[in-house]
Amino acid sequence: MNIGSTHAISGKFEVEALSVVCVQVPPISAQTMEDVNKNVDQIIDWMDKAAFGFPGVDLFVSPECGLQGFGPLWNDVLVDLDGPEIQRLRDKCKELGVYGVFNPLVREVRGRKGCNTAIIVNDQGEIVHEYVKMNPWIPGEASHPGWDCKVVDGPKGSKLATIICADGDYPEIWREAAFGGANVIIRVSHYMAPWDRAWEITNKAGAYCNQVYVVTANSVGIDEGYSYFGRSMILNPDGTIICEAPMGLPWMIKADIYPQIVDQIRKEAVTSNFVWTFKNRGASHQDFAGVGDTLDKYTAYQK
Amino acid sequence: MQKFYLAAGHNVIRAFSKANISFPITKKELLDRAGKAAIQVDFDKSITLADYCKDIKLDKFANKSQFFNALIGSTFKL
Repeated sequence: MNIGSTHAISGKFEVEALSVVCVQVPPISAQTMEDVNKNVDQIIDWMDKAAFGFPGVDLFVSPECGLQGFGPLWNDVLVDLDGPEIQRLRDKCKELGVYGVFNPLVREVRGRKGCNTAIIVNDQGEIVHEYVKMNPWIPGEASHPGWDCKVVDGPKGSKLATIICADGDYPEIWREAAFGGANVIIRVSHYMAPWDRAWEITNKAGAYCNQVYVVTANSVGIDEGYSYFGRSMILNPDGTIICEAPMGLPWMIKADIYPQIVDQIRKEAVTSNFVWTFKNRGASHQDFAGVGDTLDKYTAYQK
Repeated sequence: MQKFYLAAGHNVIRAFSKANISFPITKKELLDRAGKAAIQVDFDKSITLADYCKDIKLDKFANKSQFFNALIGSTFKL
């Protein structure tokens, strides 16, 4: 991995290894709360597998819709963030002493109904991050669009942001997370055929264009109509794939990543320091000399 | 074909390393720590880093990219 672009990174800096495990599992398309609890059972079972197979794991990541699937009755099996299903996952994180990423479909978040929500639970069993999908997969996913993309401190020097599935098709959300200081962007997905190539392209682009580690977990299996292909992957900030799960099989992948490298890239990279240069266009021209032109020349974001 | 001396940027990075420069940093602090470093800018010419940076108008640099953009923007004239 080229971490300093053209110019070398100077000096010493500390890094810690963040041990990440992503699982890809087939959820039941839940029609009852009993089904939801079976899906929770499955996630907890895979958390145990992760702890056994990868001792010392810091961060466990499960796919979008892991609690409910995405069947025709998803709106009948919504959960509450303070409800018993989430509590079981929180208890498991505390028991294992790991951070966990989960993606329930939630009845209501801050007054908004029907929110596709990624949460991060810390190693004490506390919910430390809630993110509502900014770009629901419309028109089929009639959930409430999110309103912000927060970044939270995670273990081992990580600064974590979550995005969800179709979010990754929009460059704005990756940039928002990176601009907010994320050094690891976690993309949980229920991404299906025919977009298995788009999955790889968008993950690579998200990593490279924002110089950030990308950690993904995608579902596997076939529900009432869609084929979820898996291929969960973890990527370097230069867009190269560190590890990738196979297509279609329940699986775990694991990688050690070094989040502080991203922080150092943003301080020390001279060329291709995108998270800074995108707002400082042409900064080396004599008329700008260090503070480049702004984004107001783009019409795409103007009403 | 004329050959140009093009290692000035490399020499600035070397000077930064010797002075343990890290970012963000103010221009004053950067020059206090590395301003006297000799930077070879041509086959037969070296100047101090302070002299090299004399036309930079910014007072601080958020990152190394901003420094080099400011440096080139202040020295490369069209």
